[in-house]
Amino acid sequence: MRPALLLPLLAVVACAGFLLALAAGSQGIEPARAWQALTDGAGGLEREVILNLRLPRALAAFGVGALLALAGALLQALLRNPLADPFVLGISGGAGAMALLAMLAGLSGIWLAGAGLGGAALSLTVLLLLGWRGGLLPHRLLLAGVILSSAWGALVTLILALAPDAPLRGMVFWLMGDLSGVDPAHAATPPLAAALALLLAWPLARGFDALGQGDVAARALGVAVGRLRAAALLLAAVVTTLAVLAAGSIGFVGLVTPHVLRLAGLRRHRVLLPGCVLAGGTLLLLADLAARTVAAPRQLPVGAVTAALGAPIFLWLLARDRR
Amino acid sequence: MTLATRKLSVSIAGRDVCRDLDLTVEPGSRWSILGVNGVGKTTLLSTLAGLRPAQGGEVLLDGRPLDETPARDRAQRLGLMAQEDRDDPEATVREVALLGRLPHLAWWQAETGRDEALARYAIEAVGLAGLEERRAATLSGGERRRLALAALLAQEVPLLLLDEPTSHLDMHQQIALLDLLVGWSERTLVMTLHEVNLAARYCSHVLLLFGDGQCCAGPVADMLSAEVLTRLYRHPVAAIDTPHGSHYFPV
Repeated sequence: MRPALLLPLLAVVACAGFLLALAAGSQGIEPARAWQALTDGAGGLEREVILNLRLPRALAAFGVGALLALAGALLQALLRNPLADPFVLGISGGAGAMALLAMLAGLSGIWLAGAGLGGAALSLTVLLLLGWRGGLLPHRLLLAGVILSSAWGALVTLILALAPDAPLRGMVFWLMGDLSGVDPAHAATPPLAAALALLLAWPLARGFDALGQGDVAARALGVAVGRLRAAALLLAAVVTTLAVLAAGSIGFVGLVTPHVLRLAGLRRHRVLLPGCVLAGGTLLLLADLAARTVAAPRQLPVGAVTAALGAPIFLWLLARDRR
Repeated sequence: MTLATRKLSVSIAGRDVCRDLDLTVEPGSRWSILGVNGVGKTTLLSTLAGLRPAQGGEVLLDGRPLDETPARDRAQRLGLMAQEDRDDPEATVREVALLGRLPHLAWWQAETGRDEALARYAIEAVGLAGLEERRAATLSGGERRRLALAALLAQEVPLLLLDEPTSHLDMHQQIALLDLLVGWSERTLVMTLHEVNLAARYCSHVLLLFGDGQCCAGPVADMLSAEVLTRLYRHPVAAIDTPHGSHYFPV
Protein backbone atom coordinates (compact mmCIF):
# COMPACT_ATOMS: atom_id res chain seq x y z
CA MET A 1 0.00 0.00 0.00
CA ARG A 2 1.19 3.53 -0.68
CA PRO A 3 2.65 5.32 2.38
CA ALA A 4 0.41 8.31 1.62
CA LEU A 5 -2.64 6.13 2.27
CA LEU A 6 -1.20 4.07 5.09
CA LEU A 7 -0.55 6.96 7.48
CA PRO A 8 -4.15 8.33 7.43
CA LEU A 9 -5.40 4.76 7.74
CA LEU A 10 -3.25 4.28 10.86
CA ALA A 11 -4.67 7.51 12.27
CA VAL A 12 -8.23 6.26 11.72
CA VAL A 13 -7.42 2.93 13.35
CA ALA A 14 -5.88 4.80 16.30
CA CYS A 15 -9.09 6.83 16.78
CA ALA A 16 -11.21 3.69 16.56
CA GLY A 17 -8.91 2.04 19.09
CA PHE A 18 -9.42 4.98 21.47
CA LEU A 19 -13.20 4.76 21.24
CA LEU A 20 -13.09 1.02 21.80
CA ALA A 21 -10.82 1.45 24.82
CA LEU A 22 -13.22 4.01 26.30
CA ALA A 23 -16.25 1.80 25.66
CA ALA A 24 -15.01 -1.63 26.71
CA GLY A 25 -14.47 -2.82 30.26
CA SER A 26 -16.25 -4.39 33.20
CA GLN A 27 -19.01 -1.89 32.62
CA GLY A 28 -19.76 -1.99 28.89
CA ILE A 29 -20.60 1.37 27.33
CA GLU A 30 -21.60 1.64 23.69
CA PRO A 31 -18.96 3.55 21.66
CA ALA A 32 -21.59 6.11 20.57
CA ARG A 33 -22.58 6.77 24.19
CA ALA A 34 -18.91 6.93 25.17
CA TRP A 35 -18.38 9.62 22.56
CA GLN A 36 -21.48 11.45 23.81
CA ALA A 37 -20.29 11.28 27.41
CA LEU A 38 -16.95 12.72 26.35
CA THR A 39 -18.31 15.57 24.31
CA ASP A 40 -21.51 16.89 25.85
CA GLY A 41 -20.73 16.50 29.52
CA ALA A 42 -23.82 14.42 30.35
CA GLY A 43 -23.84 10.78 31.44
CA GLY A 44 -23.22 10.66 35.22
CA LEU A 45 -21.45 7.49 36.29
CA GLU A 46 -20.52 6.51 32.73
CA ARG A 47 -18.81 9.84 32.30
CA GLU A 48 -16.98 9.36 35.59
CA VAL A 49 -15.74 5.93 34.52
CA ILE A 50 -14.64 7.18 31.15
CA LEU A 51 -13.01 10.43 32.21
CA ASN A 52 -11.35 9.29 35.43
CA LEU A 53 -10.48 5.69 34.67
CA ARG A 54 -10.46 4.72 31.03
CA LEU A 55 -9.36 7.91 29.30
CA PRO A 56 -6.20 8.41 31.39
CA ARG A 57 -5.26 4.79 30.97
CA ALA A 58 -5.93 4.85 27.22
CA LEU A 59 -3.89 8.05 26.86
CA ALA A 60 -1.01 6.61 28.83
CA ALA A 61 -1.12 3.32 26.90
CA PHE A 62 -1.11 5.10 23.56
CA GLY A 63 1.66 7.46 24.62
CA VAL A 64 3.89 4.74 26.06
CA GLY A 65 3.40 2.56 22.97
CA ALA A 66 4.25 5.51 20.73
CA LEU A 67 7.39 6.31 22.76
CA LEU A 68 8.58 2.70 22.68
CA ALA A 69 8.04 2.29 18.92
CA LEU A 70 9.77 5.60 18.24
CA ALA A 71 12.73 4.59 20.41
CA GLY A 72 12.88 1.27 18.58
CA ALA A 73 12.96 2.93 15.16
CA LEU A 74 15.63 5.42 16.28
CA LEU A 75 17.86 2.71 17.74
CA GLN A 76 17.47 0.41 14.74
CA ALA A 77 18.59 3.30 12.53
CA LEU A 78 21.41 4.30 14.90
CA LEU A 79 22.82 0.82 15.46
CA ARG A 80 22.03 -0.46 11.95
CA ASN A 81 20.78 -3.60 13.61
CA PRO A 82 17.30 -5.04 13.07
CA LEU A 83 17.30 -6.60 16.55
CA ALA A 84 17.72 -3.29 18.33
CA ASP A 85 14.87 -2.33 20.65
CA PRO A 86 14.46 0.26 23.42
CA PHE A 87 15.96 -2.13 25.95
CA VAL A 88 19.08 -3.20 24.06
CA LEU A 89 21.39 -0.44 25.30
CA GLY A 90 20.72 -0.87 29.01
CA ILE A 91 19.19 2.61 29.40
CA SER A 92 15.85 1.15 30.44
CA GLY A 93 17.75 -1.44 32.49
CA GLY A 94 19.38 1.36 34.46
CA ALA A 95 16.07 3.15 34.93
CA GLY A 96 14.33 -0.08 35.95
CA ALA A 97 16.96 -1.28 38.41
CA MET A 98 17.20 2.09 40.16
CA ALA A 99 13.43 2.39 40.29
CA LEU A 100 13.20 -1.06 41.91
CA LEU A 101 15.82 -0.01 44.45
CA ALA A 102 13.69 3.03 45.19
CA MET A 103 10.63 0.80 45.61
CA LEU A 104 12.64 -1.41 47.95
CA ALA A 105 13.49 1.67 49.98
CA GLY A 106 9.79 2.49 50.16
CA LEU A 107 10.01 5.55 47.94
CA SER A 108 7.35 6.48 45.43
CA GLY A 109 6.19 9.25 43.13
CA ILE A 110 8.78 11.86 42.25
CA TRP A 111 11.55 10.03 44.16
CA LEU A 112 10.95 6.85 42.22
CA ALA A 113 10.99 8.75 38.95
CA GLY A 114 14.16 10.55 40.02
CA ALA A 115 15.89 7.27 40.85
CA GLY A 116 14.87 5.90 37.45
CA LEU A 117 16.18 8.98 35.67
CA GLY A 118 19.43 8.69 37.58
CA GLY A 119 19.85 5.07 36.49
CA ALA A 120 19.15 5.96 32.86
CA ALA A 121 21.61 8.86 32.99
CA LEU A 122 24.25 6.58 34.49
CA SER A 123 23.78 4.09 31.64
CA LEU A 124 23.90 6.84 29.03
CA THR A 125 27.15 8.20 30.49
CA VAL A 126 28.78 4.77 30.36
CA LEU A 127 27.56 4.29 26.77
CA LEU A 128 28.96 7.63 25.66
CA LEU A 129 32.30 7.01 27.37
CA LEU A 130 32.69 3.57 25.82
CA GLY A 131 31.01 4.14 22.45
CA TRP A 132 32.70 7.42 21.51
CA ARG A 133 35.94 7.13 19.58
CA GLY A 134 36.05 10.33 17.56
CA GLY A 135 32.37 9.68 16.89
CA LEU A 136 29.75 7.20 18.08
CA LEU A 137 30.67 3.76 16.82
CA PRO A 138 27.56 1.58 16.53
CA HIS A 139 29.26 -1.75 17.21
CA ARG A 140 30.95 -0.42 20.36
CA LEU A 141 27.67 1.10 21.53
CA LEU A 142 25.84 -2.17 20.95
CA LEU A 143 28.45 -4.26 22.78
CA ALA A 144 28.61 -1.85 25.70
CA GLY A 145 24.80 -1.71 25.79
CA VAL A 146 24.32 -5.45 25.81
CA ILE A 147 26.81 -5.85 28.67
CA LEU A 148 25.22 -2.98 30.61
CA SER A 149 21.80 -4.58 30.13
CA SER A 150 22.93 -7.87 31.57
CA ALA A 151 24.63 -6.13 34.49
CA TRP A 152 21.45 -4.23 35.32
CA GLY A 153 19.50 -7.49 34.82
CA ALA A 154 21.67 -9.18 37.42
CA LEU A 155 21.03 -6.33 39.85
CA VAL A 156 17.28 -6.64 39.24
CA THR A 157 17.40 -10.38 39.97
CA LEU A 158 19.30 -9.65 43.16
CA ILE A 159 16.75 -7.03 44.24
CA LEU A 160 13.87 -9.43 43.55
CA ALA A 161 15.58 -12.21 45.51
CA LEU A 162 16.17 -9.96 48.53
CA ALA A 163 12.91 -8.01 48.46
CA PRO A 164 10.31 -8.69 51.17
CA ASP A 165 7.01 -10.16 49.98
CA ALA A 166 4.96 -6.97 50.24
CA PRO A 167 6.44 -4.93 47.38
CA LEU A 168 7.44 -8.02 45.37
CA ARG A 169 4.24 -8.46 43.40
CA GLY A 170 4.21 -4.81 42.39
CA MET A 171 7.84 -5.06 41.32
CA VAL A 172 7.24 -8.12 39.14
CA PHE A 173 4.22 -6.52 37.51
CA TRP A 174 6.20 -3.37 36.88
CA LEU A 175 9.07 -5.34 35.36
CA MET A 176 6.70 -7.06 32.96
CA GLY A 177 5.09 -3.76 32.10
CA ASP A 178 2.00 -2.44 33.80
CA LEU A 179 -0.35 0.39 32.99
CA SER A 180 -2.75 -0.09 35.91
CA GLY A 181 -0.70 2.13 38.19
CA VAL A 182 -0.83 5.17 35.90
CA ASP A 183 -1.61 8.35 37.81
CA PRO A 184 -4.53 10.08 36.00
CA ALA A 185 -2.93 13.45 36.72
CA HIS A 186 0.12 12.50 34.62
CA ALA A 187 -1.61 10.39 31.98
CA ALA A 188 -1.26 13.03 29.28
CA THR A 189 2.52 13.20 29.70
CA PRO A 190 3.45 10.15 27.56
CA PRO A 191 1.40 11.15 24.48
CA LEU A 192 2.62 14.75 24.70
CA ALA A 193 6.20 13.53 25.07
CA ALA A 194 5.74 11.24 22.06
CA ALA A 195 4.45 14.13 19.95
CA LEU A 196 7.36 16.33 21.01
CA ALA A 197 9.88 13.55 20.38
CA LEU A 198 8.43 13.01 16.91
CA LEU A 199 8.81 16.72 16.15
CA LEU A 200 12.45 16.54 17.20
CA ALA A 201 13.19 13.28 15.37
CA TRP A 202 11.47 14.06 12.09
CA PRO A 203 14.07 16.55 10.80
CA LEU A 204 16.66 13.75 11.14
CA ALA A 205 14.63 11.31 9.04
CA ARG A 206 16.38 11.67 5.68
CA GLY A 207 19.75 11.39 7.40
CA PHE A 208 18.70 7.98 8.77
CA ASP A 209 17.74 6.88 5.24
CA ALA A 210 21.17 7.94 4.00
CA LEU A 211 22.89 6.12 6.88
CA GLY A 212 21.42 2.91 5.43
CA GLN A 213 23.88 3.27 2.55
CA GLY A 214 26.89 3.36 4.87
CA ASP A 215 28.73 6.18 6.64
CA VAL A 216 30.82 7.27 3.67
CA ALA A 217 27.83 7.56 1.34
CA ALA A 218 25.85 9.46 3.97
CA ARG A 219 28.67 11.92 4.64
CA ALA A 220 29.20 12.42 0.92
CA LEU A 221 25.53 13.43 0.73
CA GLY A 222 26.22 16.14 3.30
CA VAL A 223 24.84 14.33 6.36
CA ALA A 224 26.67 15.16 9.60
CA VAL A 225 26.83 11.51 10.65
CA GLY A 226 28.45 12.09 14.05
CA ARG A 227 25.90 14.67 15.13
CA LEU A 228 23.05 12.58 13.73
CA ARG A 229 24.08 9.53 15.77
CA ALA A 230 24.54 11.55 18.96
CA ALA A 231 21.12 13.16 18.51
CA ALA A 232 19.49 9.79 17.85
CA LEU A 233 21.08 8.27 20.95
CA LEU A 234 20.08 11.13 23.25
CA LEU A 235 16.55 11.22 21.91
CA ALA A 236 16.14 7.44 22.16
CA ALA A 237 17.50 7.51 25.71
CA VAL A 238 15.07 10.19 26.88
CA VAL A 239 12.12 8.59 25.10
CA THR A 240 12.86 5.12 26.48
CA THR A 241 13.32 6.44 30.01
CA LEU A 242 9.98 8.26 29.91
CA ALA A 243 8.22 5.12 28.69
CA VAL A 244 9.82 2.94 31.36
CA LEU A 245 9.05 5.39 34.16
CA ALA A 246 5.43 5.58 33.07
CA ALA A 247 4.72 1.89 32.64
CA GLY A 248 7.71 -0.35 33.34
CA SER A 249 9.48 -2.50 30.77
CA ILE A 250 6.91 -3.34 28.14
CA GLY A 251 8.60 -5.49 25.53
CA PHE A 252 7.94 -6.20 21.89
CA VAL A 253 6.26 -2.91 20.85
CA GLY A 254 9.58 -1.16 20.28
CA LEU A 255 11.15 -4.08 18.46
CA VAL A 256 8.34 -5.13 16.22
CA THR A 257 6.41 -1.97 15.31
CA PRO A 258 9.11 -0.49 13.04
CA HIS A 259 9.55 -3.85 11.31
CA VAL A 260 5.84 -4.32 10.74
CA LEU A 261 5.60 -0.83 9.23
CA ARG A 262 8.62 -1.35 7.00
CA LEU A 263 7.15 -4.60 5.72
CA ALA A 264 3.89 -2.75 5.10
CA GLY A 265 5.74 -0.22 2.93
CA LEU A 266 6.75 2.60 5.30
CA ARG A 267 10.47 2.20 4.74
CA ARG A 268 11.60 5.82 4.61
CA HIS A 269 11.99 7.44 8.00
CA ARG A 270 9.91 10.49 7.09
CA VAL A 271 6.88 8.20 7.08
CA LEU A 272 8.23 5.45 9.33
CA LEU A 273 8.67 7.72 12.38
CA PRO A 274 5.11 9.15 12.41
CA GLY A 275 3.88 5.67 11.52
CA CYS A 276 5.65 4.29 14.60
CA VAL A 277 3.93 6.83 16.85
CA LEU A 278 0.50 5.93 15.48
CA ALA A 279 0.96 2.16 15.20
CA GLY A 280 2.98 1.68 18.40
CA GLY A 281 0.42 3.71 20.32
CA THR A 282 -2.50 1.77 18.86
CA LEU A 283 -0.81 -1.59 19.43
CA LEU A 284 -0.26 -0.88 23.11
CA LEU A 285 -3.73 0.65 23.47
CA LEU A 286 -5.34 -2.53 22.12
CA ALA A 287 -2.96 -4.77 24.06
CA ASP A 288 -3.86 -2.95 27.28
CA LEU A 289 -7.55 -3.22 26.42
CA ALA A 290 -7.10 -6.98 26.06
CA ALA A 291 -5.01 -7.14 29.23
CA ARG A 292 -7.75 -5.61 31.37
CA THR A 293 -10.78 -7.29 29.72
CA VAL A 294 -9.84 -10.82 28.58
CA ALA A 295 -9.49 -12.33 32.06
CA ALA A 296 -11.50 -9.66 33.93
CA PRO A 297 -11.61 -8.93 36.78
CA ARG A 298 -8.01 -10.14 36.79
CA GLN A 299 -5.53 -8.00 34.91
CA LEU A 300 -2.88 -9.59 32.73
CA PRO A 301 0.60 -8.07 32.33
CA VAL A 302 0.33 -5.98 29.19
CA GLY A 303 3.83 -6.96 28.04
CA ALA A 304 2.66 -10.55 27.57
CA VAL A 305 -0.31 -9.36 25.53
CA THR A 306 1.80 -7.14 23.23
CA ALA A 307 3.86 -10.17 22.26
CA ALA A 308 0.77 -12.33 21.74
CA LEU A 309 -0.76 -9.66 19.51
CA GLY A 310 2.36 -8.52 17.71
CA ALA A 311 4.11 -11.79 16.93
CA PRO A 312 1.42 -13.22 14.61
CA ILE A 313 1.07 -9.90 12.74
CA PHE A 314 4.82 -9.73 12.26
CA LEU A 315 5.18 -13.34 11.12
CA TRP A 316 2.28 -12.95 8.68
CA LEU A 317 3.84 -9.85 7.11
CA LEU A 318 7.24 -11.55 6.90
CA ALA A 319 5.73 -14.57 5.13
CA ARG A 320 3.89 -12.28 2.72
CA ASP A 321 6.97 -10.20 1.80
CA ARG A 322 8.06 -11.26 -1.68
CA ARG A 323 10.17 -8.35 -2.83
CA MET B 1 33.45 23.77 -11.16
CA THR B 2 37.19 23.55 -10.49
CA LEU B 3 38.76 21.31 -7.91
CA ALA B 4 42.30 22.17 -6.93
CA THR B 5 44.85 21.33 -4.29
CA ARG B 6 47.52 23.62 -2.90
CA LYS B 7 50.54 22.01 -1.23
CA LEU B 8 48.31 19.12 -0.20
CA SER B 9 49.90 16.54 2.09
CA VAL B 10 47.96 13.42 3.01
CA SER B 11 49.13 10.51 5.10
CA ILE B 12 47.54 7.47 6.62
CA ALA B 13 48.85 5.38 9.52
CA GLY B 14 52.16 7.25 9.43
CA ARG B 15 52.75 6.66 5.70
CA ASP B 16 52.66 9.51 3.21
CA VAL B 17 50.16 9.26 0.36
CA CYS B 18 51.19 12.54 -1.25
CA ARG B 19 53.37 15.49 -0.24
CA ASP B 20 52.93 19.11 -1.38
CA LEU B 21 50.59 18.14 -4.21
CA ASP B 22 49.52 21.01 -6.48
CA LEU B 23 46.73 19.90 -8.74
CA THR B 24 44.10 21.67 -10.81
CA VAL B 25 41.22 19.62 -12.13
CA GLU B 26 39.69 21.72 -14.90
CA PRO B 27 35.97 21.51 -15.64
CA GLY B 28 35.15 18.66 -18.02
CA SER B 29 38.46 16.88 -17.53
CA ARG B 30 38.59 13.21 -16.55
CA TRP B 31 41.21 12.13 -14.05
CA SER B 32 42.33 8.74 -12.89
CA ILE B 33 44.33 8.13 -9.74
CA LEU B 34 46.69 5.18 -10.25
CA GLY B 35 48.97 3.31 -7.86
CA VAL B 36 49.50 -0.07 -6.26
CA ASN B 37 47.12 -1.51 -3.66
CA GLY B 38 47.47 0.21 -0.31
CA VAL B 39 49.24 3.28 -1.69
CA GLY B 40 46.36 5.48 -0.48
CA LYS B 41 44.15 6.07 -3.52
CA THR B 42 40.92 5.85 -1.51
CA THR B 43 42.38 8.00 1.27
CA LEU B 44 43.34 10.71 -1.20
CA LEU B 45 39.92 10.54 -2.87
CA SER B 46 38.20 10.94 0.53
CA THR B 47 40.37 13.97 1.22
CA LEU B 48 39.50 15.45 -2.17
CA ALA B 49 35.82 14.82 -1.32
CA GLY B 50 36.21 16.77 1.93
CA LEU B 51 35.51 13.75 4.14
CA ARG B 52 38.98 13.46 5.62
CA PRO B 53 41.24 16.20 6.93
CA ALA B 54 44.54 16.75 5.16
CA GLN B 55 47.84 16.76 7.07
CA GLY B 56 48.91 19.89 5.25
CA GLY B 57 47.83 22.27 2.51
CA GLU B 58 44.27 22.52 1.32
CA VAL B 59 41.68 21.37 -1.17
CA LEU B 60 39.88 24.18 -3.00
CA LEU B 61 36.47 23.95 -4.62
CA ASP B 62 36.08 26.93 -6.96
CA GLY B 63 38.81 28.69 -5.06
CA ARG B 64 37.22 28.22 -1.65
CA PRO B 65 38.80 25.86 0.90
CA LEU B 66 36.70 22.70 1.03
CA ASP B 67 36.89 22.42 4.82
CA GLU B 68 35.25 25.83 5.08
CA THR B 69 32.43 24.82 2.73
CA PRO B 70 29.24 23.71 4.52
CA ALA B 71 28.58 19.99 4.02
CA ARG B 72 25.30 20.49 2.21
CA ASP B 73 26.75 23.13 -0.07
CA ARG B 74 29.59 20.76 -0.89
CA ALA B 75 27.22 17.88 -1.60
CA GLN B 76 25.30 20.02 -4.08
CA ARG B 77 28.45 20.39 -6.17
CA LEU B 78 30.55 17.32 -5.51
CA GLY B 79 29.42 13.70 -5.35
CA LEU B 80 31.30 10.62 -4.19
CA MET B 81 30.70 7.01 -5.13
CA ALA B 82 32.16 4.87 -2.35
CA GLN B 83 34.10 1.71 -3.05
CA GLU B 84 31.67 -0.68 -1.41
CA ASP B 85 27.92 -0.63 -1.87
CA ARG B 86 26.45 -0.98 1.58
CA ASP B 87 22.76 -1.38 1.05
CA ASP B 88 20.03 -0.96 3.52
CA PRO B 89 18.40 -4.42 3.29
CA GLU B 90 14.95 -2.85 2.96
CA ALA B 91 15.48 0.06 0.55
CA THR B 92 14.23 -0.25 -3.01
CA VAL B 93 16.10 0.80 -6.14
CA ARG B 94 13.90 3.88 -6.43
CA GLU B 95 14.52 4.88 -2.81
CA VAL B 96 18.31 4.54 -3.15
CA ALA B 97 18.34 6.64 -6.32
CA LEU B 98 16.12 9.24 -4.66
CA LEU B 99 18.68 9.61 -1.85
CA GLY B 100 20.81 11.47 -4.36
CA ARG B 101 18.35 14.35 -4.02
CA LEU B 102 19.10 14.69 -0.30
CA PRO B 103 21.55 17.62 -0.55
CA HIS B 104 18.97 19.62 -2.51
CA LEU B 105 16.15 19.21 -0.01
CA ALA B 106 15.73 21.01 3.30
CA TRP B 107 14.45 18.77 6.08
CA TRP B 108 10.92 20.10 5.91
CA GLN B 109 10.65 19.72 2.14
CA ALA B 110 9.05 16.70 0.55
CA GLU B 111 10.42 15.38 -2.73
CA THR B 112 8.76 17.11 -5.65
CA GLY B 113 7.69 15.62 -8.97
CA ARG B 114 10.99 16.88 -10.37
CA ASP B 115 13.00 14.94 -7.78
CA GLU B 116 11.02 11.79 -8.59
CA ALA B 117 11.51 12.38 -12.31
CA LEU B 118 15.26 12.89 -11.89
CA ALA B 119 15.56 9.63 -9.94
CA ARG B 120 13.50 7.80 -12.56
CA TYR B 121 15.62 9.26 -15.36
CA ALA B 122 18.82 8.28 -13.54
CA ILE B 123 17.60 4.71 -13.09
CA GLU B 124 16.78 4.53 -16.79
CA ALA B 125 20.11 6.07 -17.77
CA VAL B 126 22.06 3.33 -15.98
CA GLY B 127 19.87 0.62 -17.51
CA LEU B 128 17.91 -0.41 -14.43
CA ALA B 129 14.47 0.61 -15.70
CA GLY B 130 11.80 -1.83 -14.58
CA LEU B 131 13.64 -2.67 -11.35
CA GLU B 132 12.46 0.42 -9.44
CA GLU B 133 10.55 -1.50 -6.77
CA ARG B 134 13.14 -4.27 -6.37
CA ARG B 135 15.09 -4.33 -3.13
CA ALA B 136 18.54 -2.94 -3.85
CA ALA B 137 20.13 -5.71 -1.78
CA THR B 138 18.86 -8.33 -4.25
CA LEU B 139 20.66 -6.78 -7.25
CA SER B 140 23.82 -8.29 -8.72
CA GLY B 141 27.21 -6.67 -8.05
CA GLY B 142 27.19 -4.92 -11.42
CA GLU B 143 23.64 -3.68 -10.99
CA ARG B 144 24.49 -2.28 -7.57
CA ARG B 145 27.43 -0.31 -8.96
CA ARG B 146 25.11 1.09 -11.59
CA LEU B 147 22.54 1.94 -8.93
CA ALA B 148 25.21 3.84 -6.99
CA LEU B 149 25.89 5.72 -10.21
CA ALA B 150 22.18 6.46 -10.63
CA ALA B 151 22.09 8.02 -7.16
CA LEU B 152 25.09 10.14 -8.13
CA LEU B 153 23.40 11.16 -11.37
CA ALA B 154 20.26 12.14 -9.46
CA GLN B 155 22.46 14.24 -7.17
CA GLU B 156 23.07 16.54 -10.19
CA VAL B 157 26.61 17.44 -9.27
CA PRO B 158 29.10 18.74 -11.82
CA LEU B 159 32.03 17.02 -10.11
CA LEU B 160 32.05 13.24 -9.57
CA LEU B 161 34.60 11.40 -7.45
CA LEU B 162 34.43 7.65 -7.96
CA ASP B 163 36.29 5.03 -5.95
CA GLU B 164 36.87 1.92 -8.05
CA PRO B 165 33.71 2.33 -10.13
CA THR B 166 34.57 -0.79 -12.14
CA SER B 167 35.24 -3.19 -9.26
CA HIS B 168 33.12 -6.38 -9.35
CA LEU B 169 32.34 -5.76 -13.02
CA ASP B 170 33.18 -8.02 -15.95
CA MET B 171 34.89 -6.63 -19.05
CA HIS B 172 31.68 -5.77 -20.85
CA GLN B 173 30.17 -4.09 -17.78
CA GLN B 174 33.35 -2.08 -17.16
CA ILE B 175 33.22 -0.64 -20.65
CA ALA B 176 29.46 -0.01 -20.47
CA LEU B 177 29.81 1.86 -17.18
CA LEU B 178 32.76 3.97 -18.30
CA ASP B 179 31.07 4.75 -21.64
CA LEU B 180 28.11 5.96 -19.63
CA LEU B 181 30.33 8.11 -17.42
CA VAL B 182 32.26 9.79 -20.20
CA GLY B 183 28.99 10.27 -22.07
CA TRP B 184 28.14 12.92 -19.48
CA SER B 185 30.76 15.08 -21.09
CA GLU B 186 29.95 18.21 -19.13
CA ARG B 187 30.80 16.50 -15.85
CA THR B 188 34.25 16.43 -14.31
CA LEU B 189 35.44 12.99 -13.19
CA VAL B 190 38.09 11.94 -10.71
CA MET B 191 38.27 8.19 -10.20
CA THR B 192 40.56 5.55 -8.81
CA LEU B 193 41.13 2.64 -11.19
CA HIS B 194 43.05 -0.61 -10.98
CA GLU B 195 43.18 -1.13 -14.71
CA VAL B 196 45.71 1.19 -16.33
CA ASN B 197 44.40 0.51 -19.84
CA LEU B 198 40.96 1.74 -18.87
CA ALA B 199 42.55 4.88 -17.50
CA ALA B 200 44.48 5.37 -20.74
CA ARG B 201 41.32 4.87 -22.78
CA TYR B 202 38.84 6.94 -20.79
CA CYS B 203 40.77 9.61 -18.96
CA SER B 204 42.37 12.85 -20.05
CA HIS B 205 44.70 13.10 -17.06
CA VAL B 206 46.29 10.80 -14.51
CA LEU B 207 47.60 11.29 -11.01
CA LEU B 208 50.25 8.71 -10.18
CA LEU B 209 50.94 7.73 -6.55
CA PHE B 210 54.31 6.05 -6.19
CA GLY B 211 54.24 5.56 -2.44
CA ASP B 212 56.32 7.39 0.18
CA GLY B 213 54.52 10.60 -0.71
CA GLN B 214 55.88 10.85 -4.24
CA CYS B 215 53.31 11.73 -6.85
CA CYS B 216 53.01 13.38 -10.22
CA ALA B 217 50.13 14.48 -12.37
CA GLY B 218 49.50 15.45 -15.96
CA PRO B 219 47.85 14.58 -19.28
CA VAL B 220 47.66 10.86 -20.09
CA ALA B 221 49.78 11.20 -23.23
CA ASP B 222 52.64 12.82 -21.31
CA MET B 223 52.49 10.68 -18.23
CA LEU B 224 51.95 7.07 -19.22
CA SER B 225 54.85 5.01 -20.50
CA ALA B 226 56.17 1.53 -19.86
CA GLU B 227 59.04 2.98 -17.77
CA VAL B 228 56.81 5.09 -15.56
CA LEU B 229 54.32 2.23 -15.05
CA THR B 230 57.17 -0.15 -14.21
CA ARG B 231 58.17 2.21 -11.43
CA LEU B 232 54.54 2.79 -10.40
CA TYR B 233 53.53 -0.86 -10.14
CA ARG B 234 56.95 -2.10 -9.00
CA HIS B 235 56.79 -4.74 -11.70
CA PRO B 236 58.11 -4.76 -15.29
CA VAL B 237 55.48 -3.35 -17.64
CA ALA B 238 55.68 -3.39 -21.44
CA ALA B 239 53.62 -1.53 -24.03
CA ILE B 240 52.35 -2.48 -27.48
CA ASP B 241 50.95 -0.01 -29.92
CA THR B 242 47.52 -0.87 -31.26
CA PRO B 243 45.12 1.03 -33.53
CA HIS B 244 43.32 2.03 -30.32
CA GLY B 245 46.45 3.44 -28.71
CA SER B 246 49.13 2.01 -26.45
CA HIS B 247 48.25 -1.06 -24.45
CA TYR B 248 50.16 -1.88 -21.25
CA PHE B 249 50.68 -5.34 -19.80
CA PRO B 250 52.83 -6.90 -17.08
CA VAL B 251 55.83 -8.76 -18.36
